[in-house]
Amino acid sequence: MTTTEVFTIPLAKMSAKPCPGRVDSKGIVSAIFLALAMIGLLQFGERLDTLLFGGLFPVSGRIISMTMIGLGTMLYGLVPGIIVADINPLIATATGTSPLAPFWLITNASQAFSAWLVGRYFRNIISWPYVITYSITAALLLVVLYIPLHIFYFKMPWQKMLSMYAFQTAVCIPVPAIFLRGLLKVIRNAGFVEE
Amino acid sequence: MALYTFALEGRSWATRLHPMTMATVVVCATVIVFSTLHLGVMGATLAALLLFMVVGRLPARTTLAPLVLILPLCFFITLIQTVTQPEQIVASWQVLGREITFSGQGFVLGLRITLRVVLLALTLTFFFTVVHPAKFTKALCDLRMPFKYAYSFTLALRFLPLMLEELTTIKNAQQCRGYDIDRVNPLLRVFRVFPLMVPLVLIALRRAGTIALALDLRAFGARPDRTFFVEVQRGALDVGLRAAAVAAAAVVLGAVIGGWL
Repeated sequence: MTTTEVFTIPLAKMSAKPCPGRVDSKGIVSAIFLALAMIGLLQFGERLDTLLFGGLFPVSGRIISMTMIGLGTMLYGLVPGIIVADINPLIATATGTSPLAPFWLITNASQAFSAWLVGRYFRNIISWPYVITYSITAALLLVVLYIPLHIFYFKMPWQKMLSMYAFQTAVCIPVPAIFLRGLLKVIRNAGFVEE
Repeated sequence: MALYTFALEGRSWATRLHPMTMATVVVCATVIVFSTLHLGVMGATLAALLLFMVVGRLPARTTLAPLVLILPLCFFITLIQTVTQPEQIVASWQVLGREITFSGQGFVLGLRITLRVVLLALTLTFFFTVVHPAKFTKALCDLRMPFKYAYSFTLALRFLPLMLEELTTIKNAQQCRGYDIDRVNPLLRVFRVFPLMVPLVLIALRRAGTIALALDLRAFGARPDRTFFVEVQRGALDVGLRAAAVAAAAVVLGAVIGGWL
């Protein structure tokens, strides 16, 4: 007889509900630190995105944000996931690093929402099916959110940008899924999964 | 230099404004900027913002520095508009059997959208230049946001240099082991970031556990009636600024809905 391991959101306290998640001091502070780690890692992505397309079609930044926000939500639940997502836009605005940063409040939060939503349908979130489904959902939701930005803010003809959206989505599905699966395994082995 | 450091120094009367006054100004300016691309309206908004900067004695160099960062964005917006708009074609070339056209109307539209981006960036820059992070936390608490969430922004600002330092340490350690991410092709750099990501995440989680324990030991969030060192109060200037911002947004919105703009 084989047994299936059960790992549910929030991994750091699986007895808690995924929404709001772990909202004690540890949950909140850990979310802030994951957000700061994301800000540090984004240094390797955002500059390239700004250089290539002025930040209009982020690819590198999206890979890192999908990984870190997904990880934050999986570890601590929806509310800490939203904290991981929304600290970066606030800091980016406060330090004046990107004019698009306020819009990330919505797009980043959508990634936390995707991780939480998809997590409701999986018994074991440390698995390939879950991380791949999360990546697909988050990537598609991001495109859906970016199109109104391009239309209303930049007045861009979105029909002519479809190839760019397709490229972004194609890159942003497999890479965050691979990163997330690796990170979740490391975190489980390091003892951060509780109950 | 980070914008909020000016607010920390408190050298301008503008830093004494209530954070929600600045928030109202930001919201109203955003409404104006998004409701029209009329040059007169955008020019007036830009003039009002620059006047605020001069009268408020905000440091021009720090306040306007973020505008340099939006140059690539503005270049790409103008380029995309120029090559994708179908009207007023001023030139066209055949490239690899495909016609590339340059639209005069697209170029002008691109410049107008550039002005829109500049206005929005300036407004947000002003907010964080004059609003002290601690006052921002207090204002959020006054709006009945739980302190532990309101405090998260201040906490993040406090620990950001520490995490960046940790990342540098990890990068140096990996370099010593022969993994130099700076030598990786820039286009592929993000795909090779995993060896930095794993230790950084583990360090972040360990440190967060320690800090959360320290906060709990000092009864963080135990009492709902929290006291604050800083005070935020609304003065006559706050009322005037809010009224002016709301009136300006209402006039522009009304003109757009009425078809005058």
